[in-house]
Parts: sequence; C-alpha cells; structure tokens
Amino acid sequence: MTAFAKLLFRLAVFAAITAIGGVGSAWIMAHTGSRLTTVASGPWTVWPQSGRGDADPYTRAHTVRLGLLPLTSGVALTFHALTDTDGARLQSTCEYAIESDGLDAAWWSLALFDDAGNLVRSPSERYAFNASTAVRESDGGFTIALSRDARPGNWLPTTGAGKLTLAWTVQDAKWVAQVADETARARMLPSIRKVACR
Amino acid sequence: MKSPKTLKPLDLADLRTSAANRADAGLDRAQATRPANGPGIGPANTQEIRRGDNDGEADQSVVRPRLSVSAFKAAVVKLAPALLGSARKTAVNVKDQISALDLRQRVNDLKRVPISAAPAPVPVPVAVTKPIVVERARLRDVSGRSWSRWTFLLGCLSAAGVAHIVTIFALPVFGSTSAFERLKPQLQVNTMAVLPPAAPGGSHIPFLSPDMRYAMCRYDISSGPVAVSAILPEAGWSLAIHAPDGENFYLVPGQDQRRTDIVFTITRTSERSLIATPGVRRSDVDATQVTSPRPEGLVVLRAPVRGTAYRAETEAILKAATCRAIMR
Repeated sequence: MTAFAKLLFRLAVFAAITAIGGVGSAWIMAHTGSRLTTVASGPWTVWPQSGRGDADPYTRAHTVRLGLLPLTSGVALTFHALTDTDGARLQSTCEYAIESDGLDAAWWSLALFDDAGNLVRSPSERYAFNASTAVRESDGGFTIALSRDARPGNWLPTTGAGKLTLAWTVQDAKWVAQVADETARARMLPSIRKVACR
Repeated sequence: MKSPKTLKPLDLADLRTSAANRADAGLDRAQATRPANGPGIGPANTQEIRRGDNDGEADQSVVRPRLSVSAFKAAVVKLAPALLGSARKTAVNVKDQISALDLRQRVNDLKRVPISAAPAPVPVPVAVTKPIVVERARLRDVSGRSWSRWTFLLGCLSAAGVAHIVTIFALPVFGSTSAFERLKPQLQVNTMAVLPPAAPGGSHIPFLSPDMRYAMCRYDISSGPVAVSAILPEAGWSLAIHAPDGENFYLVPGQDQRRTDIVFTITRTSERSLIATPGVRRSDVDATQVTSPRPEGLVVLRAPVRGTAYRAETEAILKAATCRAIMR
C-alpha cells in the first residue's frame, strides 16, 4: 500500500469515526436521550428539563430536533411510552389496557401517536382521552383500551399496522412535584398491560 | 624529474631456488611443532596448506614460509615484471612493485588456504553492535507504530467528541426542524391565529396533543413591543411564550374554577418599563411586561378539548385572544 493510499485510508477512517461516533451519537442523544437527560419509570420516559430555560444542551437539542413546544417542566410533564409494562414494543396489531388507580391532578391527557409522532387515523376521530373526556370508575381510577375493535368504556382505536407511541401529559404543578420522587412515580403513572395480539 | 629505477629481467630459476631453501628451513620448524596425528596449526611464522594428492595418497601438508623483509624486497625487485605479466613494464616504481606483489601474494594465499584451515574471523565491533542497533531500531519501530495507532485513535475519538459537542450545541441555534420554523409559514407576524382541530396528517408538529385546541401568535419585537391579551377560563388552559428553540420562558396556567384575564406586553430588555401596556395601570407595568430573550417567538394559548358540547365556547375564547404590535 502506497503512502498516498495509506493517507486516504486513514482519512476515511477518521471521517467515519468522526461522523458515526460524533454526529451519530449526538443524534441518538438528542432523539432518544440517555440516563443523563431522561428519567424512566417502567415504560414511561420523560425529559425532566424540557421547556426550561436552564435545560441541558441535550434537552434543548431534543426539543429542536423533534420540533416540540413543551410547557416548562415545573408545571407540566409529558411522558412517552414506546413499550408496554413488560418491555415489548407497542404494536397496532395488539390490544392493550392502560390502567390507573386514580389521578389527583388538575388536568391530564393520554394521546396515541404512531412512531413518528403523527396521529393514528381513526374513523371515530378519537385520538386521546383527558381528565374531562375519560370515563372514570367509582374510586377515581380509569382504564383505557387500545385495540382495533371497539371496546366498551374508554376506547382508543388503533388502525393500520405499525409501532405506537403513547404520550401521557399532566399539567399540575403539585403533581409534577410529587412525581419527582422515584418511589411515588411508579404508583402515579398508569400501567400498560398487553391483552392480546393478532 | 627523477627517472624510475631500472630493473633486470626476471630470473625465475634463482627465485625458485631461493624459495625452496627458505621453505626447507620453515618446514623443519613446522614439523618440530606439529602434532603427530594429522595436520595442525603451525607456528606464528608459518601457514599450513593441505593439497589433494592425485596418486591416492594421504593429503600432504606443505608449509610455506613467510618471506623475511630483506628477502621479500629482493624478490620484489626480481619478480615484479613477471608477476605484473607485462614484458614492457621493465621500469616501474619500487613502491608500486611492492604493492602489486603484496596484493598478488595475498590473493594467492587466500586461494590456496582452505576454508577449514582459515583463521576464525576476528569479531569486528561493527558486526557485534549492528544486531543491537537493528534490534533497537526494530523495537523503536514497533513502539513507534503502536504510538502512532494510539495517537490516531485518540485523534479520531477527540474529533468525534468535538463533532458531538458542536452538533448538540449547534442544533438549537441552526436547527431548521424546530416548531417555530415549522409553524412560521402558517402564522402571520403579530397576529393571533386559531389552529384547526388536530387530525392525522394535519399537524406540522409531532406529538402535539390532540385533545388541545391552539391559538398561536408569531411575534416579532424587532420593530417594537407586542401586546397580548387572552382569557384562561379554568384549569387546563394555559398561555405560554416560547423562544424559537422551544424554550418556554413564560407561562400562565389556568386556575381551577377561576377565570384569569391576561394582558401583557412583550418587549426587549432595553425597552422594559418604558412602555405602558394598554389598559394596565402604570404601577403594574413591570408585572405585565415580559422580556423576550429573542426578537422572535411564539405565543401559544392552549385550550383543553372537553367534548363536543364545549367546542363552540372554546373556539370563541380562543378567537378572542389578541396579539398586536404597539405603534410608537
């Protein structure tokens, strides 16, 4: 191998490591996040500094990269779930039950998106449930069903085939302060139970 | 110029007689010191030469004496023309004759001495130190290559780290995928606009909550402050101001079962407290002025979707919100 070929080879390796290692890792850190920038509890993940003026650079990059308009995390938090409680990826071909024992918050919302953050097409034009629209049980708890076929109660239709993402938003400063505690967080967030898959 | 010394023509018969006499004397001394069985190395002034015997007899050792200095010089004078092989060279320099004879004799000695009997080569210092030098050079080379590889990898990782940091810090500044950039074509400057209800494929912002209705204003305070007014009828409503990178630097959440009227002015830092917000007392100016870190941004009024029965009321409140530039 000539010296020129060696130089070219080294430049190629240098460019590959720089691009893949530098830009690629930055993309992953900005898109998916890591333990340094996100907080996970079961299937739910949140960027705790989202929307804040003193947010870390990764959270700022995440907000710009995805084109989000988050409220400051001191008042509202949005958790995202890509998997069910057992860790399996959410799929539109499966049926799920989102269950909560009760939520003492001023306002909350559970919305269904596809993998890219777009709304899932629904003949009934129902894409989310919130504190005003969800049917609650006598103890304040609620169950939301995700399935292709209609279900009684709170039903979010999942048409098509593909991966799903759930967004759980709570706008209540008191609730946000309570959820910062790790032990309380698991109890305050709803569970995602897989019922069946086709 | 001195003419070269003239020599007689070579007399080979005399030379052979003289050499044979000297050889006999040397042979006696060599035999006296040689071991009984087989050939051996002779004294310092003799060299033993083994020759093959064509008659099938055992090898015979012949000791060729070395010439003394005087006999050597005499032989040089006689032998020079013949050894040089040119009859025309009858007149040569004595010094040249000695050198030529010495060279020819050395060559002949080397030809006749067998390899087994040749003296062991004296280790030359260079030959001894050369492998060490080579070994050191090889080690240095291996070590150098190793260092070169580690340096190259370290350089690659450092460059990747720099690229990582630059990308992370450059995204909020130069990123064209921010919500502000995505909504910019839809929104007029300093005008509040009510966005249509969320629908699949209708939103330019991913993960925008579908159970919220939105009224947005893209403000630009580079030419003057902007006045904003809105109503938050209950909990779940909110009015937020976002910087172009999505930072929510101002937020007014709705209160449970209590209506909140909001009137404020978005200004630059240098204009703070100099402009009175319309409809607000002078003493409340500081509380109703919001300083924007950037000349542009978004005012977002969020209204929760409470069902079809509340749709008209919600839309009316959203449309009542205003966002306009203050003329100076």
